[in-house]
Amino acid sequence: MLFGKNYFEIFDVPQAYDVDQKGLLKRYLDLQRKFHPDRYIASSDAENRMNMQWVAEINLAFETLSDDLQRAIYLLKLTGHELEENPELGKKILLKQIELREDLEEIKLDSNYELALTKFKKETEKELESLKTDLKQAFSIGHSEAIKNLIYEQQFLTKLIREAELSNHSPMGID
Amino acid sequence: MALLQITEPGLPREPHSRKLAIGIDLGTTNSIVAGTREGKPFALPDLNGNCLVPSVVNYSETSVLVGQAALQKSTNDASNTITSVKRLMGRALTDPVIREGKLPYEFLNESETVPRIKTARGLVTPTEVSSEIIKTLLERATATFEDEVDGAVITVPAHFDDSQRQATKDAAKLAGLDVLRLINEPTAAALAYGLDSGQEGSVVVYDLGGGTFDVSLLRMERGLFRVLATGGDVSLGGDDFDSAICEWVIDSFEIEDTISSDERRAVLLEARIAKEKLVDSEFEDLRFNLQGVDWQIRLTRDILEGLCEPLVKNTLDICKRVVNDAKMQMKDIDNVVLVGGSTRSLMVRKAAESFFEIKPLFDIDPEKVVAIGAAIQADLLIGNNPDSEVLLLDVLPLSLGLEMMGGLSEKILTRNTPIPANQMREFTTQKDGQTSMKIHVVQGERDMASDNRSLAEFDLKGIPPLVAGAARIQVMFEVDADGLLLVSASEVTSSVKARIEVKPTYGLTEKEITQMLASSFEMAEKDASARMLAEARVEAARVVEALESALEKDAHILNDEEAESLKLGLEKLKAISTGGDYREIKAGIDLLGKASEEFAALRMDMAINQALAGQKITEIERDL
Repeated sequence: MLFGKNYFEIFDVPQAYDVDQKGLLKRYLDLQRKFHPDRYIASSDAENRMNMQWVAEINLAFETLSDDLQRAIYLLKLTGHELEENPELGKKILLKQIELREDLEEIKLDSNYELALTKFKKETEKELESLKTDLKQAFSIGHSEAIKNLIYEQQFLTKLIREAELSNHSPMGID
Repeated sequence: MALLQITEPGLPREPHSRKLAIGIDLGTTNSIVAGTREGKPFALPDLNGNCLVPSVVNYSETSVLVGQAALQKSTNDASNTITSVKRLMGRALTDPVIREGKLPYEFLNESETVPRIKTARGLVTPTEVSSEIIKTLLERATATFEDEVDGAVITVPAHFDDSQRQATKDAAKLAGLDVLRLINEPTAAALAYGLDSGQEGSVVVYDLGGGTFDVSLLRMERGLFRVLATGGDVSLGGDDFDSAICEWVIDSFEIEDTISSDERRAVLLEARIAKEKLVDSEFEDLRFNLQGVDWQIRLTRDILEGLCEPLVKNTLDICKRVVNDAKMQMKDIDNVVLVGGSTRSLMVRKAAESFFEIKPLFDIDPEKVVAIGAAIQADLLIGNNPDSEVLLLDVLPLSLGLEMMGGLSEKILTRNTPIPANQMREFTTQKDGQTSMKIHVVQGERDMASDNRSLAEFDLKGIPPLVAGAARIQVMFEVDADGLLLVSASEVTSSVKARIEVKPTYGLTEKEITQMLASSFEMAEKDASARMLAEARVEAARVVEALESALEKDAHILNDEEAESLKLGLEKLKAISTGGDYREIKAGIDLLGKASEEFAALRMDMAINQALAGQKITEIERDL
């Protein structure tokens, strides 16, 4: 915590899972307008260095708070809980993850690839959204174990969606 | 045109209050310098009206030629004529670009990291070659404006890594040019189109040059330019179109096995000419005399498009990835800007139009647009438009990471993170009593460290001998607004802090640059120290001015004693800088800098608290 402010304080928003993204962006742009290094070109080196640190902190805070998953992890950390590197997931969750991964592999071979991929992405995103609702609930009652498990599940799904987006079978024609 | 000159009462308008700042597009093939006159940016031509300076430098025993004059030497004096030096910037001698690039120059073959080219004028590094080009551009600006240049914005490709950016900045420093900021070429192009003028929107900049392809997605909001994502391919460009045509010719004649390399070059040249003509015509007849036989073949626009399609499709795939990276969709894109000579091709324009479903912008010359954008940004940064709302927020082009056990690369700062950025990671020791740790910094997206670009390697020594896992080693990554990285590492459990700061391995050290400046060919020993002295004085004046204005505003946050000691320091530096020893002035600057750190911190805190308080007031206003 640099400059004695946590990320929520920097953006002056309540320390909670739900954050008004529009307000966050507006605040981010206002802070940048005030502090960006381009505004400090004529300053002393000491001030430049200090300013650079502060703007880096603003950037990191914005990146963290504007991403649902990163914000959840950060919020959990503020309450004194850390995620484990190799968490033990329930059998049910593990099986579901294996199944989803196999689905994606099959889609890569699908003759109707584009359509199948879009459908897969949509379903996974829907699943992710419902987990977010659960996460909000878990945060509101402060159940840290439930929060952790929901974060692990979301980490997996986010990664999976990313892989689906990057999969390179897409023959997008140019005419 | 301004009809009235409004001057604040009591403040006479100084004729020289405007500062001169320029924009430089340091290209692989050509370079351009642009400036601003009466608020209008323009590329600076030579006496013949040419704005393009070929990025070519020729060294002979008696002279250094740059541009057109050097280009004429490239065929008969190839080993002393350096072309496309941009490709060598920030590269190690062992880099494939240098090893396998079939370059006509001879490199000094020592186990050094920085490549040194043997020329008739002695050994030169790519940074020095580049600085010769910058000097020429600087001279053009000085001659055009009949004034000294105060600072410059230099553009670099969005995909340039840390050492390439550092090398570019060093080249400017060697040329005696103060770099206000390095900005990405595509961003400069968007600035040139003034897409910031009030409106909101998302812009894709599609930059297809001779040898490289870059694409950036920018978001404009109330004068703020945010680079959301960038991507590209360092070995994809218009030259590949020429090669594709060349291969097609060779295949059609079935002479693959017998063609000589000279003949191949001739075919390639014809291919390029035909490609350029096909912008206006439907077909071109290519004629060759190969192996004593006359050949003729008709290249139609359809055939050309067929040949180039896979290449253009590659560029569009990259565009798709960048849009994905920015978590956006095609329909969110409001504008497409075309940059680079290769976007003159009709096919590229059509492909971009049908892919994004928008008519792309290309009314500013695609070869000058980057320099013009850089000039606009330079004019802004130097302070000529204090009321401007325009602000450029950039991102990290490539992920920065550390090599972990097993050779894997762990990303510390990921690609597209807004800069400046800081990130700290904590590691521990693997063995009992371990007193040193290897820190290897890499840049790139690949999983294995060895597949990425190696930036720096150093040992953190002096770790207290503890049981494995007890030491806490903090590695700090700091990226500044130019995208340049500083890495430091320290051990925190002990009171003894081992700490080291590194600069990229393949750049030049501060000492080398100073030496080069001092021993620069044109400068006699005396001139060198005179320039050092002049530079030190300018720097001292800047420090004095900044601190005086800070004290004037905020001296009240210091106690009398602190304020008095800073004022004393100020007077002392002023006195020193009238003297003739630049080393003494530099030491004075450092001393005052250290003394004012606490004051700077207090001011920063105050500004932050004011900003937070200001937020609360606007919120109250909104709620009312």
